[in-house]
Amino acid sequence: MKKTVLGILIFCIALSAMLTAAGCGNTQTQQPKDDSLQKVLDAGELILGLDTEFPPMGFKNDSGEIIGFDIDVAHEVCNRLGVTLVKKGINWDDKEDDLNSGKIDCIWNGMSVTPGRAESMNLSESYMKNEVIVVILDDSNIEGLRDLTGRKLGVQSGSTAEDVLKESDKITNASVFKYDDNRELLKKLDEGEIDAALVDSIVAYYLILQSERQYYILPDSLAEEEYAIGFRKEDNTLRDRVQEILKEMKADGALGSISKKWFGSDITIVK
Amino acid sequence: MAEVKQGTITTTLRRIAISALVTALFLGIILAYYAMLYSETRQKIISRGELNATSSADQIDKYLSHGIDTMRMACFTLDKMIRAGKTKEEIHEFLVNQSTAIANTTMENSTGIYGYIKGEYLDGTDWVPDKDYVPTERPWYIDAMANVGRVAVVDPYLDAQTNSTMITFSKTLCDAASVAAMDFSVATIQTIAEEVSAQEEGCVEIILDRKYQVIAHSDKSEVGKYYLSEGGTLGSELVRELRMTNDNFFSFRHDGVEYVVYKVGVSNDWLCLSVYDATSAFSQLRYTLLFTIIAMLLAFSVLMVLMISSGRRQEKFTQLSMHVVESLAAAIDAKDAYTNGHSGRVAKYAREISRRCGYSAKRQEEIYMMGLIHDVGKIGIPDAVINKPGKLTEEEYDVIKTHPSIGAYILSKTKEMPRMAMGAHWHHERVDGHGYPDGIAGADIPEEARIIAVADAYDAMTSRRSYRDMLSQDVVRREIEKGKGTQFDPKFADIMLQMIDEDKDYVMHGE
Repeated sequence: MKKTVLGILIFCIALSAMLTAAGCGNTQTQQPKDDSLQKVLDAGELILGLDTEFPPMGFKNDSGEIIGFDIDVAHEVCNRLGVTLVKKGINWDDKEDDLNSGKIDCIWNGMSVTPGRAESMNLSESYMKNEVIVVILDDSNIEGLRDLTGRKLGVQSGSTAEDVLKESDKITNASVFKYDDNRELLKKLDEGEIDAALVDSIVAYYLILQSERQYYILPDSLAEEEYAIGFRKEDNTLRDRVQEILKEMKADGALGSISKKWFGSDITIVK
Repeated sequence: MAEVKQGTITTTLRRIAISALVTALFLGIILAYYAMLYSETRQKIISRGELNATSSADQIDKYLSHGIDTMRMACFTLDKMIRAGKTKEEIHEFLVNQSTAIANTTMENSTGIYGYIKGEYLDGTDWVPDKDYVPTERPWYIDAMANVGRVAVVDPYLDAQTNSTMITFSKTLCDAASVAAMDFSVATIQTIAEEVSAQEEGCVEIILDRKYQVIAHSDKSEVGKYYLSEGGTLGSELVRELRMTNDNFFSFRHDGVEYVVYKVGVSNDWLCLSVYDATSAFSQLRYTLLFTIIAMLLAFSVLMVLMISSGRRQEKFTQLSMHVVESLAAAIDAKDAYTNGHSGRVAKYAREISRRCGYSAKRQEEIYMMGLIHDVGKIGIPDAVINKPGKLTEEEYDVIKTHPSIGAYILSKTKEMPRMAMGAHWHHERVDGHGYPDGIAGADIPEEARIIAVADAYDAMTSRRSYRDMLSQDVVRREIEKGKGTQFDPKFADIMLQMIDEDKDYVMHGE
């Protein structure tokens, strides 16, 4: 009889222990610990891949230096990490391959977030908004998106503009011309090789304001996007640490000042 | 009697263990219930927060989107006018017309449209700027350019003329250099925040912009503060928690008060927060828990007291039963002059044998009682036969042989303990089946009866009879040895032999 009582007591304790453990199901999903951050710290450098003709995010100035909003932010992040920033110009079409092969550690160049990219890469939280807009010459007769039917349109290859155009149902029967970078894209528009250029608004505004020519921008945008930094899928610690630093920079105003420098005002959307 | 006391102690221990188990169970149930209530209360607060925040956000959305849509439509027309090459005067006329319309449709929340168009400052509200006014250095112009085509919402400022807090919607036009702008009062937003929080007790509505500056707040004095750069205030704590979580709701502590917050985004990256002071709700819950536990402990103490007293009563009752049986045994032995104390001794031996067999304390006690009354049938035998000094005739022997059946009949009255009759009924059976009254054999004879048979025989041999004296220990031993397997069960006979061998001074029968 005493043995039975003891048995029941032990059983009840075991049962309540199990229930408590199950009840406390608030286990935060831990990211698998990897050494990506440690590797960068050990190497003492972070290799940033960019399209060097994407002003004002990342581009070559007249002296050949690579500058830009993204570059300034990346510099500050690397300072706080204690490593050097290495800027590597890449072909925008090959950016994913370069990232996965290890040629670069991150893609940080006004890269738009797409479901596909979110799948194949480890993206930071979005830090800026952007739209895909249509740029035309001042003597063009194109008024709206519907007027683009059957016209010659230009995009940068590997950009989201290319994909957005494919999926758009407002523009049909258009011939698409692809170019390596946005500066060339605008040049071709100037030369009349294309009737309209589909560009990221951030780049478009910069280039238009620099140019002597008068361009117009159509009131309808093709897509609304957000920019994020791309890391390798498995590089969780590196991505998380950079994200942390961006948050700090938001809180202490460093991010806002860099935005003000390049855009006149803080347009970052980091939380 | 010492054995009986020990039984009581183990019983008490067992009772305490069971009580502790039941207490723990109830405690577990209460705690689980409390946890459920806690989460339910929290959920209720969150739902209320969701309702309020969503309602505020919806109202603010409606208010703002009216302004934003008006802005977009005006810009659309301005774009067309620029591309058509309209003159500044034509554009200015348009701005004036639009401004009248806007002032009407927004119920004077906006004065109208102005802008920097094709290199010149044009104002549809007829506001004339100072000579040193540089439109391209104004926040409305800079923010519009920075937002590259989206409608920018410029930080609130205090309008000197109307003494109300205004924000500005501004947007670039098709040539990427002209900007149109529209001032919009946020007094309505402040009213929305104050109204919503007035309806709920302990609720505060806060509208934050992307830089965590307070646009509107149920507490007017908080408007305009930058919560991100503050330190240690409720606002800065709130923003810190807000930035860390992706959920729509969260809770945090500040200055000993527990808050539950629900957040909803407003269209232009603003945040609408419902902040609840949840301490009172939760502290009430804690009091309830405390009282419940105290009440439960009280109920338990009472239960304990009742159990203990009932236990004591039960003990007394058991004791009474034992004493009655002992009296009965004394009555049995009193009849026969030679067998005084026989029942007691047989009971003692039987208990010892069963103890050595590993019987539980309860069974030992049972056999003891069986032993005490195994000869109760003798009451039905005439005195003359029982106390006859000489040898018995066969007739007289037969009469004596009925005492087991008589005993069984007498004890059949004790319906609570039907087993009591076992010892009395069959203590004269033999394992070889030649015993009486039923002639059953081997395992058909109940164990207790087999034990008592050995004990009975031992005592018979070691006491004086009318026809002989006490036998010597060797003889006794030999007789028992001889009876193994025939009269006696070998197992119990062996134990009896063991006891005899240990009784070196041959005093056991006298104890």
